[in-house]
Amino acid sequence: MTIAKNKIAYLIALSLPFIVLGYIALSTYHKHNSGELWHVEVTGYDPRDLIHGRFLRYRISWSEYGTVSRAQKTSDALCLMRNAADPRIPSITQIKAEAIASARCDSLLIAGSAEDHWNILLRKYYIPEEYADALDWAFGQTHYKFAVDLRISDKGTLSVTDLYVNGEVMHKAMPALKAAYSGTKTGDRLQPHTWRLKVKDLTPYYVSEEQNCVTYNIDWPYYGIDFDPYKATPHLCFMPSSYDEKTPVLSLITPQTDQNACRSIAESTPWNRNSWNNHTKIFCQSAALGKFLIEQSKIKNTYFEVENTINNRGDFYSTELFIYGLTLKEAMEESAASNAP
Amino acid sequence: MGLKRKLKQWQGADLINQDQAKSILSHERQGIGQKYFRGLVGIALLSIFGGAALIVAANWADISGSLKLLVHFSINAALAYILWQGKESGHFWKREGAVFILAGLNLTLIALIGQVFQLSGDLDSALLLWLIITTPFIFLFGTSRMNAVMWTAGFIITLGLNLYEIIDQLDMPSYKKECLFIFVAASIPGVLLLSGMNAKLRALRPEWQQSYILAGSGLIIATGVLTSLAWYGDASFLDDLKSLYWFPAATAIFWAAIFIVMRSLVQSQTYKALCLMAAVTSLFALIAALPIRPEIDTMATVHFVLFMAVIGYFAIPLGMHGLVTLAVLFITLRLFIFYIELTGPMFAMGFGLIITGILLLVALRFALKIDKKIKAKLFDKEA
Repeated sequence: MTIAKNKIAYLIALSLPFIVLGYIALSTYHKHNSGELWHVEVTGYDPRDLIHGRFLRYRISWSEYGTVSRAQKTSDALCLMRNAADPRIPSITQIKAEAIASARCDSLLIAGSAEDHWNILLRKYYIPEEYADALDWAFGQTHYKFAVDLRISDKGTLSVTDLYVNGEVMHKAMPALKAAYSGTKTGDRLQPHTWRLKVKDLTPYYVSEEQNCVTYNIDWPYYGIDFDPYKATPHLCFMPSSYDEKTPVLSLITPQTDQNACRSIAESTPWNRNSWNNHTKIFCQSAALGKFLIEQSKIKNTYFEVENTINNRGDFYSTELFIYGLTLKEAMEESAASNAP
Repeated sequence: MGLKRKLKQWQGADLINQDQAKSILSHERQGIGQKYFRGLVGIALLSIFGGAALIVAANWADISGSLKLLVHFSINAALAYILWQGKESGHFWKREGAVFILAGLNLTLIALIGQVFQLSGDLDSALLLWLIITTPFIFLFGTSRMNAVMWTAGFIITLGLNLYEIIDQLDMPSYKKECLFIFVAASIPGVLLLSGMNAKLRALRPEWQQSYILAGSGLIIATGVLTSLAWYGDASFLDDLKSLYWFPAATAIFWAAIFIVMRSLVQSQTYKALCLMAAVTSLFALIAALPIRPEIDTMATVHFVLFMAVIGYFAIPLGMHGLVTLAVLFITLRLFIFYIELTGPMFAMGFGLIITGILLLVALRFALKIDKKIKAKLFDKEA
């Protein structure tokens, strides 16, 4: 066998990538510029790994616009109707597959297993690497709203076009967003800081031979902080007291607060259900220390404190428990010494 | 200078005489100036392309998607033109280099289209599209080993990443899908090896043929090694295949039979040895995939050692001396691992570590001696 000498075979082989990739590029361009245009809100998919590689992992908040179940393996369709106040915003009704033919909708989205179907939960949006940190931070802030533009074709599939931050298209919103993000990283708040906070309501949580744990609540009223634990809270500002770097003076942040004066800021974000008070409040110890911890938790009116480190992302981490100013180990040793004959 | 020392060593070993050493040195000296010149040209080109890449990277987010695509398509078109020119003028490296670069650029263009239009594709599907659209031109224009190896590697990786997903889309029960996957995955090395033995391919694309043979043989050896791990568990994985529990064993028998038949059909002694090696590997895989077999961890070591011994044995007629050394070394290391498996707790203690270290040194020395002896015999035979 010899290779076909025919130049046409060579030309076809060489032009095949151009034809196929050209077709994909042009047809996708057409999809992005035709069909019905809609504007819908999105939320982060997984707070632990939002910026996965160079992709923002998100989900479309269909339920913001109607009663929509999250069933991934559904065959139901979404019927989108134009909102009278803003025609780009949809009012959505979920309809059965059998009802598609008779449905009267401005756009109809059918279910399927590819990303251009409405019921795919995890979606990815390519972002330039330089935007990654700022977007990761902004997705965790309640005052930033994210949305995407959708084009819905006559075939009932969607394509995502632009990403919006607070109503502004991403590349235009990024300079201000990056500046806001940089602002949170200036000053002393770049460094994690450890604070000692008075705690109350110590309750045994896990008791075994190997390990013992207690739950606790931070005594916020002791610091003059009053809030509804079931509602979203503003960020919390920590400033060191005049007599001790670890003892804080706390205040709720308002729009008038100079945040640069705060040494740490405990943030309320969607990742902690909109309150810094929702961080895990459990303290564990093993062996004899664990047993001592459980004993002490049962004594009423004991003065407990917990050291919490607040990192530069505004997250809490409990590190040490104190009883009347002594570490648990010191308190146990002192107790053993005083009980000695 | 390294070359002078080498020449002295070769003279000392009576490989070359003084005149030959002088001639080699004078020849090499003639090329020194050109070498430096080429090196500097390389640095200059690297500097230009590196600078351009940095400028593009720094402003990537500000460049519009359509401009990015337009520029990429233009670069691809320029490469296609250079490729065509290389073919027409018969300039080997111009053509081969352009094939290699254009193939790579097609992959980056696929990624760029996905990026610009937010297609959210993954590497698997990008590679599959790349393989489909680039295979015709790589095969027609690329004759060098570089391009043959690139395509073969791309083919194996793409198949590895996409095979399960492709089969999963078929409308059949999952246990049948598992069987189909086993059959196709087990057949890839065999098909590559048999394609490499095709006389027409050898006449048409000798480098591609070599590449197929090497990839097929490598995958067959890897399969044999991996099947030895099956002894660490019981044969319960076959239960997932329900009524088709016999299928992996049948696949191994099928390929053993194919290679035994092929051995009688091919003329070349090398191909005969390769067919026999592949048939024996299939039988090794068969033993591990038998529905009724004892659950003995030690068999993993026995299987591995015997298999590597067979590989070393087949490497001798194939003249693959490196593979003989590798087989001896692997057997030694496997036996050492077996020793650690047996004496695990002891290994963690001070004396245990010392004894282990000494044993490893002794074993390696022994392995090197065996390797030297085998090679000495081989060289004698060849002389």
